[in-house]
Amino acid sequence: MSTQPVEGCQRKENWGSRIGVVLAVAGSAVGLGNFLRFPGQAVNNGGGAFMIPYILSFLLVGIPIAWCEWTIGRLGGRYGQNNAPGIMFAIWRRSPAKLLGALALLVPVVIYMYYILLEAWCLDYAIHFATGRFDHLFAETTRNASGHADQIKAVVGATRDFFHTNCGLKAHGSLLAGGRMIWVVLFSFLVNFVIIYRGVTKGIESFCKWAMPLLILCAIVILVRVLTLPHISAGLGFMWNPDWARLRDAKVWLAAAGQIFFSLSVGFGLILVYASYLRENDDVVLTSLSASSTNEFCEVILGGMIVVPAAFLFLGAAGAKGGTFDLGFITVPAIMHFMPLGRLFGAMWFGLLFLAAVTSSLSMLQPAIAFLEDGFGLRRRASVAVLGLVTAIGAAFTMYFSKGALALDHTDFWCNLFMIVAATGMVLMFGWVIGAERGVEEMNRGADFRVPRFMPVLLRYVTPAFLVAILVAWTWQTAPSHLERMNPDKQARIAARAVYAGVVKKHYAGRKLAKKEMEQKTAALLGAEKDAAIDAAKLPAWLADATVAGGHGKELSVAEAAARRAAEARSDANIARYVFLGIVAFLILLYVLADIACRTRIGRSIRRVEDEGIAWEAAK
Amino acid sequence: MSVLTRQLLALAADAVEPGKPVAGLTPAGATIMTLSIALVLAMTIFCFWRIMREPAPETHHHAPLEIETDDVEQ
Repeated sequence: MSTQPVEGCQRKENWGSRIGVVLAVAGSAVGLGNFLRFPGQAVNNGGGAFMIPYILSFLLVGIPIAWCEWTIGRLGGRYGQNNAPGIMFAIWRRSPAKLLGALALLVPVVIYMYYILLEAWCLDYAIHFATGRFDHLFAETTRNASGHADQIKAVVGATRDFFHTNCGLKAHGSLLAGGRMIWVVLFSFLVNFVIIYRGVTKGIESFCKWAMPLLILCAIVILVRVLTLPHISAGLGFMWNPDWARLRDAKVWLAAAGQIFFSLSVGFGLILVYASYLRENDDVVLTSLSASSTNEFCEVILGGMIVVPAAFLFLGAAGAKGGTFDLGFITVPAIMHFMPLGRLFGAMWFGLLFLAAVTSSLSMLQPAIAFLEDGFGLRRRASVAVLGLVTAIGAAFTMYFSKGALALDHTDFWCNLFMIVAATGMVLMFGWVIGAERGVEEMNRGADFRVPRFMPVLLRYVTPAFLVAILVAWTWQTAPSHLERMNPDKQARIAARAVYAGVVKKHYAGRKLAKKEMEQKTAALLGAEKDAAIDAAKLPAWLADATVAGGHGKELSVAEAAARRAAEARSDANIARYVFLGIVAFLILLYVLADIACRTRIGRSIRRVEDEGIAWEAAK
Repeated sequence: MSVLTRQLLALAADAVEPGKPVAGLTPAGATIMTLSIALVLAMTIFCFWRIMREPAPETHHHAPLEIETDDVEQ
């Protein structure tokens, strides 16, 4: 390969060592999802039985997509491209390639805008454990609790309240109104950008080479602690005992495929960019498999054996079955209170989550940095500054609209959707544009061992079909509720009805009605639909004249309270719309920038490489 | 471990689901868990063994510190 600088791609940075690239890519994949999402998914989808669709998905979807992405990335690197639009355009000189490139820029950058917040939460929790603030909080809350059940209730209540208050989930703007969290976010932001500014080898690789082993070491120490707890067999049984009947449920298979897809961080540009820093004969097969297996090690062995078994042991079945946030930021701190040396293990646990989050967020920044440098000739300082500004604006938006994690939740939804679209597009490009056979031939270049012979068939038909199935099923399941939450009028009606329903419930509280009877009473008074409009003229006097608590000790009439809640709900729905519009506008902007770059600087550098006769023959 | 902690653990084991005995790890659960761990561990060890045993490349395989990349401004 030419060592002469090529116009538009003067930088030709490479990974310093093979273990460095494995740890960097594994670091990009290992995150909160491994330690918190995986055990939650497994325990809610058949326990040990979940592992069957999970492992099949890993073999049929995860590994092949990862191999695809590594191959495309290394191929793009041979054209001097380290940015997603350039890599895609070098291989396929059509507009859809630029769009795929723009998606591969959009998804990581937008995810970073809220991921930085999660990163800061982890750091803040680690600081709280290390400085003994949680001990103090728990001592206060359990002072009057007598039995164990009361203690559990008090501790979980305290951690829930702490999470909602400290992480801004109670009110919009609370995180930006001063306080410690904003400084923790700024510090996390700074850590990321200092590392990314140092470059691929000196920054990302150097950091991951010590952060990943440290992270795994901390997790192993905590794992040993959990496995040596008395009665741990019960906790492990709760996590791993299989419920075979669940295998007949299609949702379980979808959940397993989704977990593999989101966990490996494949298909949307992170690996693409990292792989472009490989040399043309560097082994992508073994390197990719190593990164994926490291991710699985963290997920199955460490993630599957720590949180849920310990949560079951200390808090019971209800405490061990939660979403990622509940499990991570409410359940785990509560577990640590009951666990011997919990303060130490709590600090260690959230410290390792912070490291995992940093290694992931670095990989989210690098694609945009590389695009600004390759596509527009910006120096590292300028590209870091531009990206820092853009992500700071996005993160500030997410931080401000933090009530109920509103902006975060909607951003996450659209990113996940675009992520699956990008992955599907990339695999289709590999199977049908490059050609599965030629692509696999390229994949095997320099490989320690060759990929299985059925891989072309798998990549041409099976994997794309699997991804399309995930896309359709995931959209079918999640899109309706998100689209509904973007409807201001409907949300306003739902919120207003909920206020009236609360009064009805209070009115009949003394009669101890069954849930169904209560629902019937409510439906008779307010309408059966959850978004039924309230007609004040038709309400009985006791309901129309009722008052409800309006905060700060004030009493409000039910109509006034309903109007307030409706206005808030309308506002939240509008914010959800702005999130969607903002992401679409950003995608259009990135596409335009990708188009300009591909027509000018990136296009020239690709032609230059081709003229030198070192291009991949299939592209000509 | 303190007496209180032991009591809490014992209580937790009984009180997690009142009235329902806490099931330990069943043979099927233990098998699935062991197989999953063994598979992942074997794959990880195999991959890292293959990477580590690879001889050092003939070419200069470290970051070319003497060739400063343009993007990093000093």
